[in-house]
Parts: sequence; C-alpha cells; structure tokens
Amino acid sequence: MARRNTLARVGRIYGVLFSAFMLAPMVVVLAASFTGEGYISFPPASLSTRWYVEVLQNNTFMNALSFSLQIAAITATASGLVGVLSAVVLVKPSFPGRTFLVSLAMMPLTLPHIVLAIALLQLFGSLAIPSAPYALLMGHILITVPYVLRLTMTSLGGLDPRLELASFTLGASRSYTLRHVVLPLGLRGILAGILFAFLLSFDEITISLFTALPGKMTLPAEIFSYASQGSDPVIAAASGLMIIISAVVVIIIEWWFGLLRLILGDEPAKRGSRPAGE
Amino acid sequence: MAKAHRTSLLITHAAMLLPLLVILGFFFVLPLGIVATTSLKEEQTFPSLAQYLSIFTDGFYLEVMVRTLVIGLVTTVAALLAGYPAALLLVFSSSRWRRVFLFIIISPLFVSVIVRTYGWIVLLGPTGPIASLFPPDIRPRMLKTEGAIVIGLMHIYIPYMVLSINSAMAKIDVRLLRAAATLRASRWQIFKDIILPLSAPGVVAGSAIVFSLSMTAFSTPVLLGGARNKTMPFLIYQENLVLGDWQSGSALAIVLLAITTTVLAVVTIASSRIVNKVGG
Amino acid sequence: MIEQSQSTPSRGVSLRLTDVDVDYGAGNVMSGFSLAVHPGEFFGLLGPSGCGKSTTLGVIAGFVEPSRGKVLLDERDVTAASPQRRGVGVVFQSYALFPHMTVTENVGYGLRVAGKPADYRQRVASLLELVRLDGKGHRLPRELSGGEQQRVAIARALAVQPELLLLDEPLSNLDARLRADMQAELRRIQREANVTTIFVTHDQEEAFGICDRVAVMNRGRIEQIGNAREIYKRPASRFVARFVGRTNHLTGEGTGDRAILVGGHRIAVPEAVAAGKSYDLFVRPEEVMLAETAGEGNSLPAKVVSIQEAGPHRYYRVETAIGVLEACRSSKADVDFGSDDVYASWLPEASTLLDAPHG
Repeated sequence: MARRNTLARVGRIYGVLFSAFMLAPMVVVLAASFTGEGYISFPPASLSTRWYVEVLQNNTFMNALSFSLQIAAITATASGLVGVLSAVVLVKPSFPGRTFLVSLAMMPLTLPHIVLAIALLQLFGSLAIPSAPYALLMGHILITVPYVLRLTMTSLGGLDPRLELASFTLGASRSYTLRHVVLPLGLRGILAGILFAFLLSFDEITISLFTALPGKMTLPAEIFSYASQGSDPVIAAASGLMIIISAVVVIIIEWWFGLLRLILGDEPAKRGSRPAGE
Repeated sequence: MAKAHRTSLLITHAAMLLPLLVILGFFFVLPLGIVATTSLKEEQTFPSLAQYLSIFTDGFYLEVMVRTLVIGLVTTVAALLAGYPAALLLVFSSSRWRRVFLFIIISPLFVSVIVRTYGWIVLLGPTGPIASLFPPDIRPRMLKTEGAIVIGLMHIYIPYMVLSINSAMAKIDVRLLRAAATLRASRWQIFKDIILPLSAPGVVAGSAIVFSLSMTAFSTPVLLGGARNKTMPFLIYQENLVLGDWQSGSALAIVLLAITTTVLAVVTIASSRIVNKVGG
Repeated sequence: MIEQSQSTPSRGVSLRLTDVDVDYGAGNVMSGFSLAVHPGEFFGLLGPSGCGKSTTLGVIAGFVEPSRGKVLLDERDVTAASPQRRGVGVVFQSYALFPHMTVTENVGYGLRVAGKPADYRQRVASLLELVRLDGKGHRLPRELSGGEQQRVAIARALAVQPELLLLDEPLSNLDARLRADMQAELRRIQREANVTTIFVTHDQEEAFGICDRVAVMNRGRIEQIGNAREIYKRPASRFVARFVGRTNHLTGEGTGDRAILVGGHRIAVPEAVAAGKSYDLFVRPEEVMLAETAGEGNSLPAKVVSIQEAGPHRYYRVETAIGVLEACRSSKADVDFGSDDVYASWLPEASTLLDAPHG
C-alpha cells in the first residue's frame, strides 16, 4: 500500500516536471514579450505591452505576417482542393492502385524539409523560372496535402456506404450525392484538415528560409533572421504574436473537431444513420 | 451503356486525381531526381562519384557528419529516457488527467519550431532564468553549445516519441495486466515482462522518427549551436545557398536523405519483426 | 392517403430475372438465376445469411451488375441501367437515413434531386401521413426510435414513386413487439402505395407473416417458390424442409411399394417408392401423435426423453427404435406424459417424401 502511494507520488511529480518542461519555452517567450525593459529578462522586471505596439508598428514584421497569412491561406486552399478531390477517389476500396497512390502521397512527410527545399530551388533554377514565391508554395502544399488527404479519407471512409447507394436509388447522380451527402458528412474532418494545413504552413520555417527572398519573408523566417543576430524583446513579441495566432487556430480545431483526434488520428465514430437504441 | 458509364467514371476519377499526381510528379519526384543527378556531376563530367568521394574523405565534412549523427543519437536517447515514463504515466493516469497531459504534450506541436527554439534561446541565454540561478561570475555558457542543440531538439521532437510509445502501450490488453496481477506478479515483473516488450514497437518507431527529424533539423541547431557547431543541414545550406556549389550541396543532401531513409527502412522492417515476435 | 393512391394509380410492375450470373471475380456467386414477381405482389426472399439474397437485391436495384442474364421490369430491360434510372426504391437494413438531414429533408430528397416540384410540401406531408409520422418532420434521424426511422426510410423510398420497392431486412433492427406491429404496418403501406414489393429476410416468420409468396434461397439458388402453406406443407427440397419450421428428418431405403426401411423398420410413406433407392422423409412435430396406445399409420413405441416449453406449444423429444423424434402438442392439453412408455404415431399422408440428394 505504501509502495503504491510512493509510486503514484513519483508519477505525479514526474508529470508536473514533464509538463513544465514541455510548456517552458512558450511560457518564457510570452512572459518575456510583456517586459517593460529594453532587454530580455525572465521573469520580466516590469510589465508592459510596449513590444507588441512596437511589433505592430514594425513594417518588416507586419509585411512578413501578412505574407505568411497569404501563403498559409493559399496553401490551405490548394491542399484542401487537391486533398479532398483525391480523397474522394482514393477512399473507394476498389480503386486500382489505391494503396500505392496513398503511400506515394504520404511520402513527402518522411522527406526532410531541407532536402525538399533545395530540390525545389534546383527545379525552378533548371526551369529558369523565378522561384519566389512558387517554390515556397509548392513546398508547403506538398507537406500539407498528406494531412488533408488522410483526414478526409478517414472522415469519408467512416461513412456507411449504403448512404451513397440510398442516394443513387432516389435518382441522385454521383456528383449530386457527393455534394449533398458525402461531403457534408465528411465536412468536419475536411475542414479540420484544411485548418491544420493553414497552421502547418503558417508555422513552417525551413522551406520558408531557403526559398524566401530578402524583403519578402514569412514571419517565422523573419524571426529566425532577427534571432540569429541577438535576442531583442521585439522578437519575443513577434513570437508571442505567432503563439496567439496558433492558439486561435488550435482552439477552433479543438472546438470543431478535437485536437487529440487530429493528431492521434482516431477513427471517427461512424456517422451513418443507426437505429436508436430502444 | 454500362461499359460507357464505367469508362466515363474512370475518366472522372482520373481527372480528380490529376492535381495530386501533377504535384507529386512535378514537384516531388522530379526535383528529387534533379538533386540526385546534380550530385553525380563533377564540373561537366557525368556521372561521377567525385562529390561523394570528397564528402567521405574530407576531414571537415566527416567531422560535421559525425557531429550530426552524435547529436541525432543523443537527442533520441534523451527523448526516449524522458519520454518513456511520460508515456507510461499517460497510460496509467485517470482519463481526465490523461486528456490534460496529452494536451500539454501535443499543444507544442502547433507552435512554430522557430518560436519554441527562440524560447530556448531565452531560457538558456546569459540573462535567462537558468543562468540567473548561478552567481554572476560562475554562470555557465549554455547557448552555442552542442548541449543546447540537444535540449532544443529533444523538446521539439519528444511529443512524437511519447505518442508513438503511448500508442503501442494503449494496444496492450488490460486483461493481460490483470491476469499477471492475479498470478502474483510484482509491479516490476509486470513492467519488465509485459509492458516493456509490448511497447517495444512504439519505442523503435518513436526513436526512428526522433532520430531522423533531429538529424535533418535546420533552424534549431543553427540558432542554438551557432556557427561553431555545424550540422549537416547547415552545411547543405552553406554549400547550396552561400557558396553556390549545388553539386556538392546536392551530394550532401542525398547522403543525409540516405541516412534517414535507411534508418526508417531498417526500423520499419525491424518493428514488423518485433510485432510478429511479440504477437506470435 | 386517399389522394396518394389517386395520384398514383397502379404503379405495381412485374419483375423478371432471367438466367442471371453474378461473379465477383472469385467464382460465381449466382448462376442461371431466374425469378418472376407479379405486379402488385408482396414477395419474400427468404434464406440464411450468405444464401445470395443480398446479391439478388443488388442485381435488382442496380448495385451489382450481372455478368449474364437480364433484369426486366414490366418486360423493359433494365440490366444495364444505373440505380438512378431503374425506378426501384430501397429500404436498407440499417435504413441509411441521411444523418445530417431532418425527416422532411430525408423524405423529400428524391423530389429535390429531380428539381423541387411545386407541390413539394404537400407531397412530403402526405408521405409522412402515410407512414404516420406527421408532426415529426423537423426531427433528425438520431432523435427518432428505430421503428420511426424505418418508417422514414419507407417514406423516403416511396417519395419518388418507385415501380418496385425492395425491403432489405427492414425489421431486423427492431425489438420483437415492434416487429409484429411493423409487419401489419408494412402490409398496409404497401397496399396503399400499391407498389410491387420484394422483402428480403432471414426470418421465416416475418416472410410468411407478410408475403403473398416467398422464394426460399440457398447457395445462390431458389429452392422453392410458393405461399407460406405450400412451402410448409410441401417442402420441395431437403434444405427447405429443414430450414422452414421444425421437422423430423428420417432417411431410408425404398422397399418397392409404399414404404421405406429406416434402420430396418418399415415406415409407410405417402407414395410408391423404388426398391433400393435412398429417400428423405420429413414429418412435422405437430403431425406426430403421442398416446398410451398404438395409433393409426406409422406407430412406434417411444419413451419421453425431454420436454421443451414454447409458450402455446410444448415439444416432446421421444426415443424410438428409429431414433429420437420430436412431437409438438398444444400447451392446453393437460396430459403429462412424463417418462411413461408411449406410442409415437403419424399418418403417412402427413409426411413429405423426397428423393435423397446424391452424395
């Protein structure tokens, strides 16, 4: 009995320490961003929002933020279209070559981003086409499509196939069925995938750094170049801005779909019609 | 009629898959082919293994390569040692705490790597909270060290380790543990004989992921390790973008890709063996 | 409801499947399959799971394309027509209601597909009335009971005025009491909508309780078609005799006149048999009399082994010289045979004689 309590206590202490370790960098950045001093200190000697005011008035950071948001929006839209279109086809178990195509589509996930970045630069170089911002966009689309594809496939794969057949017997064409039955029922998973694609693109740093042009960088890339020159509270505030934006998207995903389900990829409960328990 | 219908369906499906195929073919397979080709060039000679020869004979390249491997290994071991108890804790905590704890482990994944890295710059910096625990004259230098790289990378990639081990543990049938307990197995025996072997596939998979991610990370090692502690991704950046030596840069990229791919492949095969062994 | 039947006079069509083969790549699941259903009929497809009844349903609805043979609706060839163009309504086993649509939206789905007609509201309302769901149009499927969901599924299928209605195990998800109510309800709706209906089930009570005629299926083939009485009284095959109802199955060798030898004992049979040939003899438990004295026809000394109470009936298992026989008596008969020695008897005319299948 005593041993059991000791074990439980050790476990609790470890849990608290581990949680502190996991959250420390974010907490420190947020705390440092609200310093009233002209240098980074933790805990801050005085509190103020002056560095946020500074960031919001800083053209470099604001241009970078708007560029980041644009890239993330385009990436999410494109990945959403590509991922959903192909998921609709690839979710059919009978589709020839399905396994091969799905694993091919998942391969960019195992490719180091740095290799993908120089590969895209060389592609555009050998085509003699200006790489910015297309190399960046293509890189982001490549690394986000797998998530949209997978989430959409799980969402649609969980549907009762008889829903489609029922729609057919009522005279609905394949595309009508897709628009009125299949996609509305898969909507949660699809939108979660698209939001996640937005966030991944917004957060991405390596491809952004390699493919960005000076003066036209994403916010993470801009933070990188500032941070490599020293630690200024304005970087903390810019990082704080990123945390806030990420948190907003995360909250939407959590409320709309469930964060744990998104990451752990649990099979969504079958949402086909079922007889109510009587 | 039916045949025409099926043909038109096939065409529709092909059209729907076209964007994905174009993206994968033109922006994934083709560029990788270009990198591979470039790496096999020496000035105008093709094919030539000169780039690879110089990588594996040059003391500087070798030093960087060894450092990268060591950092990858140390990070993986550290993530495993810290992550395994966390995964264990996840499995055995009540469902409410499990949710909270999972959330804490997962949520950093949604924050940009650059922000998390910057957090470590502040934490490990000369005026940071850790340094301020020491008297001013004996403050250790923590930034721009290999240790800083390992801590940063471990923090960034440890969620994958925990999730991977946890998913293997979650598959363990609770009845096994109960059966063992009724057979008077001690907690340690239950852990050693049941949990540890059955969680092995998760350990292997998690380690492979953490290893390949930390070997290929770019911004975290650069910011936390500085110019002195170069790793392969930094070298790839330098050769390609600073020196403009695409041939040698491509060869480095291919070597890096080969290492991580081999690790992932070996692990995939090994873990399927483990699963078979444990399952059979 | 009266408007409904006026606006749709007789929509019942005949259905014919001729010589249909189906193979899913790995061998034929169905070969040379033929079936004819009369206009307006309530027709049952009965068989154990895996007997091919779902495949048959798929062929009729257009989900499964036969590799050979024809599907004819009123002599119109629809073999290659897509499910959308067949005019066949389907009520699925789990109902397959669209979970994101209300009852009204589910029922009106087929009408909206074709372009919302001017009398959309009235038509949906009259369908809801037909299935007695008026007032529940705004609910979502998950807010309904199983029986209500099923009625929504029926209304949805009827909305597009199908010429043929397929019901795939529609009662299997309902509890026993509701099932009995819904049987009568299905019949009523079918009569009012006046649509040829095919009812697929593995439950013989359901099939015989509702259907005009039933086809008993086994291994992708029809074993027998007939009404409940014919199938029960005159099973056409060993499978039907054993699948439908309880029966005593005896095998014996023909003697050359109206008797067979079962384990060396002469058993009288309804017709003359060839000497030396193998025969199956089936005797329903209710045809087996138990009495303290020998009875008419075949009569064997017997000993009661066990008694099984089944509500209105009571089944006795009795040991005889030709094996264990089952006899069924009404529970009202207060005779308790206990373990006394009795006689088990039956009239030869009450038994069914079939040639034993080879092998």
